[in-house]
Amino acid sequence: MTRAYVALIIFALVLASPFIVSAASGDIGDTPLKPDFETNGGIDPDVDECVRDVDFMRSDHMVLLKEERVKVVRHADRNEKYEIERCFSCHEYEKFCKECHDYNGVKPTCFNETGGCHTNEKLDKSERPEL
Amino acid sequence: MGKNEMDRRTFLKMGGLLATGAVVAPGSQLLIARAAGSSGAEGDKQYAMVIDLDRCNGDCDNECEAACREENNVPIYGDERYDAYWLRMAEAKQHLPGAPDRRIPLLCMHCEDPPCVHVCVTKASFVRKEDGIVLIDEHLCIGCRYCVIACPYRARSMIFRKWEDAKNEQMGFSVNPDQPELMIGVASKCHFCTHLIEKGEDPACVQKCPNDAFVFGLASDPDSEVAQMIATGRTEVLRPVLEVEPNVHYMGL
Repeated sequence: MTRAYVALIIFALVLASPFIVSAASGDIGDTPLKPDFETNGGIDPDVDECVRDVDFMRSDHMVLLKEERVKVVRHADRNEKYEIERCFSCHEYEKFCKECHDYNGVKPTCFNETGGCHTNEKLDKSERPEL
Repeated sequence: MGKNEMDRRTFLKMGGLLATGAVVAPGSQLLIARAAGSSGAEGDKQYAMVIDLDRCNGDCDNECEAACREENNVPIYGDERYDAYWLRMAEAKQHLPGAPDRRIPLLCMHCEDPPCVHVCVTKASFVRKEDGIVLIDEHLCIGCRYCVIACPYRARSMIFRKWEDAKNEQMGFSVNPDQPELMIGVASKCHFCTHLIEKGEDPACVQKCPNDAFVFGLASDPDSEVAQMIATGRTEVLRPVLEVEPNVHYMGL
């Protein structure tokens, strides 16, 4: 009977081993903080105008980017207004995008930093294009 | 026999009709699909290129190859198993006595009915209806290499290695910072320098050829130089028997 209990305990330990290992290595508690929508990465939505309104951009900017990508690549229909490089004339990835992306576990694979092809350093950041 | 029952003869007749219908219907669908035409460009514009092989006489340092590599960051690794080529210079020996040997620049033929597009599993390869250019959507390509095998002109290259391993600069090719590096694990090929066409310029090989052997333009516009050269009937395409309708034409083949 005791042998059966010992076997059960060992089995439970094996099952729980991923949790034990991650707890021992101190990964727990490293979850990113909820992004601070008050500071907005230094951008004031009342003053600075984006291509669409704030609520749309906050929830659906990725849909917009993907639609524009399909239009440019597959239909030769480039709209300068929605070019992704223009985003970085106002928004800095490290300050504005990264916090929220980390919190939501999103890893956009467009750019060099995250294993993609495009660079976000082409545009001169001091020069803001007209909307 | 009750009133609503079929006799054996009618039953067999109906069964026979049903079987005939089941055999014929899919076949007729195929015929309809064939009549509807190819997957090629049905839009207004169609870009084409004419290469005059009499002018392409070897009196140069293969500027077209280098220009293509430098404009589009096509990687070269110094190992022929992995090197990518969008434009290759082939040398053709003539069998007839006295006929000159030919140097033939080979690039993507931008077929109107391309086999690479037909075999693409994810629809990453496509013919752009707006301008008739065959393109790869690298966001969708999964790197299965069917298209590389299917292309009858060997115009496609697989990118086997990372851009960091490429020796473009060591081998004397400059790097264009405006063009993204080619992603590892996807097929790649000539796209008629789409980014330059957008700006109203000619492709890099056309611009850099010292002998002006390349002519590029709209084949759909009857006034363009390309359309007039094709209309003379002196141009040929490579492997016409395949009926893929290439849009790169050769003069003096």
